[in-house]
Amino acid sequence: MTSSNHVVASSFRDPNGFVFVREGTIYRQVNKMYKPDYDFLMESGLYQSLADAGLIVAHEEADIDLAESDSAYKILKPDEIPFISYPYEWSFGQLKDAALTTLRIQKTAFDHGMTLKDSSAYNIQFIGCKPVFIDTLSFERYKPGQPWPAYRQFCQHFLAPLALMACRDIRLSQLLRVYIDGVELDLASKILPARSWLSFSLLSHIHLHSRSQRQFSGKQVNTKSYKVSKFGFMGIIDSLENAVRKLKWQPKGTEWGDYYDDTNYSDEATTEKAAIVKRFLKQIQPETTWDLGANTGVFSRIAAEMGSRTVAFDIDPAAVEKGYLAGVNGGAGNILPLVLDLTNPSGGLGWANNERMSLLERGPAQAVLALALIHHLAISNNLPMQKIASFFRKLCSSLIIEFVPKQDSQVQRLLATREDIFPDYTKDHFEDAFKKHFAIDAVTEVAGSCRTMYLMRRLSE
Amino acid sequence: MIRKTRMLIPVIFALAIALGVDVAEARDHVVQAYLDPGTGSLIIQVLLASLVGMGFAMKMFWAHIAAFFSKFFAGKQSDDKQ
Repeated sequence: MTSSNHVVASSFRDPNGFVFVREGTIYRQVNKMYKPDYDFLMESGLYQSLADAGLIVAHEEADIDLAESDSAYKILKPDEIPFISYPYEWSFGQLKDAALTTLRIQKTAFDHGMTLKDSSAYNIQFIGCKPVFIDTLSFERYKPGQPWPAYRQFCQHFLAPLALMACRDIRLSQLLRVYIDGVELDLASKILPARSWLSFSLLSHIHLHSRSQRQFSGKQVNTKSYKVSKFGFMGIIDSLENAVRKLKWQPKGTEWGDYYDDTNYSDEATTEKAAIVKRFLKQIQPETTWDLGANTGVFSRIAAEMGSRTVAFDIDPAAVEKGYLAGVNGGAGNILPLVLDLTNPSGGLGWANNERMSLLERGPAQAVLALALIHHLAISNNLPMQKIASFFRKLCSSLIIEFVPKQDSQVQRLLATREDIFPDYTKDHFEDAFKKHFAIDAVTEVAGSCRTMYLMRRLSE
Repeated sequence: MIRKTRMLIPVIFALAIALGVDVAEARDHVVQAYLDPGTGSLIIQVLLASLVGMGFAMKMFWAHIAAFFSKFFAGKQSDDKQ
């Protein structure tokens, strides 16, 4: 990430403040206009209650002289988030837990006389497998009779994508990449199966909600004043919580979900490979590790157990879901599993392509693991070896990569249904391509297999 | 019977929307927000809140009754043990 001084590009919609970077440290400016709400947040005990429960990112108040403008009331220094991820990179369970965390925070806020004024999924980040709320300025004092201003946004950012993933197809999570303010409800209503009309929560919060939006769109209605009783307000939150809880998705039937049950690796070779990965990682001692094509994160755990902040990327939502559930249920807590298609990684999105960072902008990582990956890139996706090597150079300073030769049964499987147009897919050609960008520090054959492991270090410019 | 009643709720609700029931009767509170909540979203929320709010109040009521009795019997059991 960049260490220059700048205002964070995603932080411009809320007039109450913004996030900025100074000398590589992230700060949040609270503007004077937010003073009454900020003071109430801190004095009502809400902030402390949320921080104690680990639901909100903790902050300390910093020197006001750091202010970016005269409108500053306070400057906050929040705890660092190890890796910024986005809803279109989350598995079903992650989006669901992010939704439930948002509602839990809303309920806690309500108990303290406050409410969330927005409910963007981008206000949640994951520290390992734990969802945390990051927008300290999202709270406002509850005014008796007010409706929940974040209702539409919650339905678009959480309920609609979750319902589509659970009831139609898990891959529809990628709609969040197109619709940066959440899936529009008329679209969700069209795609959802007919049986969703029999669910009271989906009928009311999505189908009828979208029809109400259409019916009142562009009509002259006095929208400035509506009353919702306290019980009505709490009932809406309770109803949304029930709706989210009822949505379920089992990770099965996708491409790689059962990979470790269906591989040609013997137990001996797997143990050997794990030992090599551990030895190489000990040489690097990385603070950050990205495991690309991590599947459920079996090898990511080695990095995480060594204290490295690890992100386990995989294209398969079922594998990522399994990795996430394993982390939630007592696995390595400092691994963040994410859904990512490495051949089409997350780009810069939103206003001026700047609001949401691309994968490369969130790097480089100190170490990248690319195990049993090269054949998928070179053969399944026709990527020339030189292009793979130059992309990896941008991703990391140290690389642990496994070469899978043509005689390997996994490569043979890829070639079974297509013509072999890859005469250059050889170990020598692989080494030549990577040597242009990396120094090869170690090479080890994996006993019990025909594969080779490499430890590489990025060449200086 | 309860199941039938539950099935009726969405039907009644859908009819209310379809017939364009004027739900903007009870309004005299000014909402200030940087986020546009959307007219249709506000109206459906007001309608829905009146429906689920009653259910939520009942739920809270029964939760309090249940908590009272579980406390009452727990207290009685510990008295018996003494």
